[in-house]
Amino acid sequence: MHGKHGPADEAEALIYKLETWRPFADILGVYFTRQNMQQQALAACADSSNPSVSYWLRGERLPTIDILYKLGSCLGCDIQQQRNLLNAWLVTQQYRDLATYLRQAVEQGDEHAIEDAILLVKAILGNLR
Amino acid sequence: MTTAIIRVAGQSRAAAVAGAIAGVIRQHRHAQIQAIGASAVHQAMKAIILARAYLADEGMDLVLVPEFVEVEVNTPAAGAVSHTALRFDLRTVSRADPTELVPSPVALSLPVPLVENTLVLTVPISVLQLLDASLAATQRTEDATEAMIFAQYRDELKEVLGR
Repeated sequence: MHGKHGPADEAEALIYKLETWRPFADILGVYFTRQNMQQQALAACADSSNPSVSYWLRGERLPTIDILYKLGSCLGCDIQQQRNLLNAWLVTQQYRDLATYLRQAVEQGDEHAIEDAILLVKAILGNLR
Repeated sequence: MTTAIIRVAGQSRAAAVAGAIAGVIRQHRHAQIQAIGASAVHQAMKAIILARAYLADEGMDLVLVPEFVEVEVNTPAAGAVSHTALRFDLRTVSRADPTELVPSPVALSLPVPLVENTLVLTVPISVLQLLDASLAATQRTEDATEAMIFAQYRDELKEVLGR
């Protein structure tokens, strides 16, 4: 990319990061691999479907919160591992939501609105100022 | 603005006091430290220095306003004895801009507009703090793979945020 980088470019770069970061899939993958379980077995245990489990493991989708505890139980997670799964889920969910929020500002097209949205998103991510 | 006074003695462990200061600051953005005597003041100052380091990652810095206060100390032998104590009033400022006070998270969880299109934003728990906490927890339980994952995401987020 060349030329000057405006707020829209910065927003797009941030959206890309937020959409591609997938800590939940990574943590889920660790427990899934350790349990040496078939996707189908996990899907059946968690009252879900094989494609859903596949999406979760690839980081393309997130399970809903109501299935999260059961998912951990099916994978034999102790309380510490349940906590890791939950934290990873919370972080990933925030990334996805903030990407969607930022996308709305970009689609609006107003540079000041985009700048404000970036500021707000970064504050929630961890920049206090 | 009232918060509990953290009393420091000459035998207080600076790191423990620092943890208490950081905890109060995180909750109230304001703390008061009180010390009587040279060694207590020395421990208090060390604790404040350590607390600044604890809070640095969260974008906060501290300013200190010292004052003398008269306090009564009860001892079994002499009863109530008056002493001059040093009290340090600690207030939170933004590390990025030390002239800017950071308001209490209770008072501020939504963006507050200030002059000239600037925004001051504080959030009770940021994603970075959540990743930090997750990393610390996995390190304590020696979940090496999970710790690596959380560390990687934390570092990448810090890079994006320029921290």
